Amino acid sequence: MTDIAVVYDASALVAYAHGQIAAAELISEINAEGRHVGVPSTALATALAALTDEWDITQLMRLMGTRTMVILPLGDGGPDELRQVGEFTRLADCDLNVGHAVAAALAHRAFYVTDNPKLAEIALPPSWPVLDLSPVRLVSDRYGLDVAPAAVIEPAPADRHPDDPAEIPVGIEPMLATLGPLPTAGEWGYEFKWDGVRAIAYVDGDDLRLLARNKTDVAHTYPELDALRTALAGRRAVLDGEIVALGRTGVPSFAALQQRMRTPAPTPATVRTKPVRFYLFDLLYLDGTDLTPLPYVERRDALQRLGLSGDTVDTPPYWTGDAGPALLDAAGELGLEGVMAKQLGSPYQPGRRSPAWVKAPLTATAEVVVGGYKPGGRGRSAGIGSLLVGMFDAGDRLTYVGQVSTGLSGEDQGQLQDRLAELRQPGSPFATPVPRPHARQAEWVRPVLVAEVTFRSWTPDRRLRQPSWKGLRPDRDAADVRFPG
Amino acid sequence: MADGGARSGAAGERVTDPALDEVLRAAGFQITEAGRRRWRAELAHPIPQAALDDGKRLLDRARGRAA
Repeated sequence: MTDIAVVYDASALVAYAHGQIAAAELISEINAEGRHVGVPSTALATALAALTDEWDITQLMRLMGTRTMVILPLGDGGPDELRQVGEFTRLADCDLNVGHAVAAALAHRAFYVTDNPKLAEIALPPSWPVLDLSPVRLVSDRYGLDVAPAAVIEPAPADRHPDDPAEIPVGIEPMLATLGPLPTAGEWGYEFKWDGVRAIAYVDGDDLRLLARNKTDVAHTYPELDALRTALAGRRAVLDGEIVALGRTGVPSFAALQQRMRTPAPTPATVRTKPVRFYLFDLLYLDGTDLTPLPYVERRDALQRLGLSGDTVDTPPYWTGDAGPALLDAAGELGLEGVMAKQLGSPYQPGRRSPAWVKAPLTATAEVVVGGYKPGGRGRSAGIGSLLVGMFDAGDRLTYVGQVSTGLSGEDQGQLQDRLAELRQPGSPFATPVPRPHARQAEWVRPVLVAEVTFRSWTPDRRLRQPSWKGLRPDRDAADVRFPG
Repeated sequence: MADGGARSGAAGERVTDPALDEVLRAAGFQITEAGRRRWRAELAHPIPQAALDDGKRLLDRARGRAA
């Protein structure tokens, strides 16, 4: 009998194919021990169906060709085995790959490995060991950090009832963070900073509104986030969070999200192949109670008690104590943007950029307004060589802050060319002079497109040092793009 | 699987595949000893007997429903 130490379900195989290092480290360790990884045939087929990149598929199939991996066929144990798998599939919300993997883990007395433990945990015995590959869960183990425990204070909404007649508030401005070094003195909670689109969700029975920062309702752009309404089961809530899409490495990637941002009415196939997630980090209102005056730690506790943890809608953990610096290291290793620090005792201050929230990015990012572009030189296949960008100053004058010539993919260029062609105007929109080498051969455009760029630092004359293109921000208004205070 | 998991090979067979490292490298992974050590510690924990008993009961029950 082959010594199968673990069973990988489809989500774990996809995590491997997407470059999740922990998934590969575990396989390497099992091989070093001379043991094997069991892969239910249905899990492999499900994973292959979910993968869209040929390179990913090739890497997964090469892995399956090693002797470490053992494919566990479905049905060669006869009808009894099929009925067993069917029973576990029923428990796992009719997910055949999970049902098959659960049956295999129990039969082989093996650990269950997954990037999405929710379904498996329903079907497995309560104390059966599940090795969770999802990145935010791994951090606590790898860095020896304790996830912040639930507060001992009873949350205010505990006794509220969904029939509470109070009107649900609308149009709450999101609280904003100040940029700065990671604070460590005092009482802070630390969260990962997610690279996505901020949104506040208003859930009122059957109604879900998802307002981006420019007050656009994006609920129809991300129909899978209706899962939040379902999960709240009739409760009335206002929640703050970030809409993200996972990139190849299994962590949020703005580039991956852009494909969805550009599709206001996605087809079911787009939703299935390019899914988004909603990471919740604050609870502002619940069943008739305004929670914004409560301290962060109490709001967070109330949020966690809602149990909104799943594949599409999740409540990532936060950390306290002296965890901040290690979490920043972890963010670097995982390829995340940085860390948010929030004072444990601070209320939610709508619309305010508050020092009670500090954004400590690993790379500085800025929003800029596109005011012009230069055609590509020889050797560029597309037509844009660089973009000339600016920010509005205190006198509402668009001020030139630099040219962006790196980070533009061919796809970016193709889409930008069409947009920029529509916006062309005869003269420069910048109120300040653009350096002559930058202005030479420039085409000018109406300053309405907002983009996000990364950069090393500010120069003394208020230019961006080494800016690199990240993508357009259709959820932002150009008039709001200002020099940082 | 219905009988408790016999598949292939001798009982307790332990064989390493030297080709695996190259496959992981080609896929872009840089495996570190520290990364593997964490999993080694996890795998060293035996599955609790109560969980094994529950697992056997679940398998038997699922098969029983089939009978």
